[in-house]
Amino acid sequence: MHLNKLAPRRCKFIALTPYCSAIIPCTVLDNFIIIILAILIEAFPFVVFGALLSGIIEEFVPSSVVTRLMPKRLLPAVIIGSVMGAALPMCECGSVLIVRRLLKKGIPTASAITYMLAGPIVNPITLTSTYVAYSWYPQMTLYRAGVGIAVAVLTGLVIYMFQRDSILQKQDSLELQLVRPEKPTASIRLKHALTHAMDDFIMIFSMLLLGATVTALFKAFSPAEVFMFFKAQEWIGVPVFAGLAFLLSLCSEADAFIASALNGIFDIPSQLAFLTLGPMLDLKLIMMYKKVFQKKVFFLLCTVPPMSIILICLMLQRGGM
Amino acid sequence: MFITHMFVFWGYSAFTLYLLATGEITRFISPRLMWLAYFSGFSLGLFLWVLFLRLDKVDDSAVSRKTVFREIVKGILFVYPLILFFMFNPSDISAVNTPAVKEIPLKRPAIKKSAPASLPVDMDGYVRLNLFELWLLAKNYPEMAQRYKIKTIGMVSKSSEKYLTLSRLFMTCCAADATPVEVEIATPSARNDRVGVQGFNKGDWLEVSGSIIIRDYVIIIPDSINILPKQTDSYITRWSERPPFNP
Repeated sequence: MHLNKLAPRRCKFIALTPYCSAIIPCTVLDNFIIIILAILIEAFPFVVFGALLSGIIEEFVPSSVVTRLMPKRLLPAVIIGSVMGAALPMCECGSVLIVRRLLKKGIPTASAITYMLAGPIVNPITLTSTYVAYSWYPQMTLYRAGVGIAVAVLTGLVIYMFQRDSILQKQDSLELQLVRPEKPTASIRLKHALTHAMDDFIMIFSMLLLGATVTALFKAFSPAEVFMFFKAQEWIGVPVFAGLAFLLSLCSEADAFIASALNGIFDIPSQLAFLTLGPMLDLKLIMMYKKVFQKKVFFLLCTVPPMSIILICLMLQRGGM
Repeated sequence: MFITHMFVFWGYSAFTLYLLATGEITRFISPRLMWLAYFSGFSLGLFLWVLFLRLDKVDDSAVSRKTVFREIVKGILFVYPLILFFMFNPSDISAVNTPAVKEIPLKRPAIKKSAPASLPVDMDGYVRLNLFELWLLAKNYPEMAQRYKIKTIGMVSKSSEKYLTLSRLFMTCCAADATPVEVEIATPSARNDRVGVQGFNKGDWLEVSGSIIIRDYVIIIPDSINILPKQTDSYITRWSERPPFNP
């Protein structure tokens, strides 16, 4: 059984914040609490859903089925991973849990990473919200899906090159071991699935809590002038807007509306950088990656997607997009 | 481990239930996503059930039913402050830091789909729009916007002798993505029938009726300004992307 003693401390910290606001009557602090809870309330169901799906995969999907279904060759496996998000729709918070479980079941590394990064972008809800938000520029939906898939495939291949065997944290060996009867009944299997789901949920929830806290700190305490400063600095629009996606940690289903609303400040390639990087890497995801993946993979996940997205979007900007 | 689980599940589920029961949940997420909170509540119930099933089998031998109830009491102690905090602290628009939509120039390319010939006008001759719809109308159909008289509500976020800034927050999914949308209320000094914009304070909720001028941003020339009682919800959560704007 893994030990996670940080979660209650963080919960207590959040619960104590109202007491702080009584001492420091400050609207910024109110805003901080509202943002942190809003992120949690919005992300929570997706994490629960991811955990439930992960528990079901663990209990009901044998490893042999996963290895038989996935193609043996690298490229087809990666391509299937990149479009799996359309069939297994999940936002970025939940997909980390599913990938962790799929990796344990024997899905190829490159394929799992590609699914984790591309899934939140190519899922039907995200694509629909992007289409609605960019009704004035419908090509954005295609650009977003295209760049998202390309970067996810590239990252999957790079990680495969550097580390082919286990990419998960070693401490996962401490995971809960359930006593399993020889022929478990359906109710026992369901109970086991729920137990795995609960443990997965607890593991990732503490990271989500930490990520939400850091994001809320940034949103509540950074001055609005920071955003407006870049209005006149067109050449740094792409890296700045990509950085903003990392710091704001918006859900992939909502970020298109924000990017679209900020159209006057940043050009189209910058908005594309915002839309593709956000679902792959942000403050809350970084905490989750650190918890789940080994150091080398964590480092690659934190460097390859932002660098490639910024490069692609700068090239598109130069090309006059 | 068991205590950790209890704390997270109990504390969070009690708080979510409170928000759902009182309708306060709409201060954090959009009403159209309310099902997410119900889903969370149901799942938490399942997890709690599994916890109780595991009660006698966990490796923390000190765990007893007495401990469980002690944790529930702890949860109440930590959850109540949050509940009280949200009962007595309505959200304040001035604390939001993302740039206001007013400050973004009206550069957005026009929507190619043609607008309807007319907007639905009320008995009193005004078109009722929320501030975000007004901004969309001005941005995408500027000629049409200047043909009509509109009526809208918002909170004063800036005030001076010559103009007022009226704001609302529009929320797509949750409060973390809320962005303020602003319009200016001003009266050209040459007008004889000018309505004064002085005497209103930051935080006042106003209903403004008048015509629109579009410069770098949207300006309302008021026919009348009425003070409204303080609104509990500063968010715009429903809007139409294009005319006739009648959600």
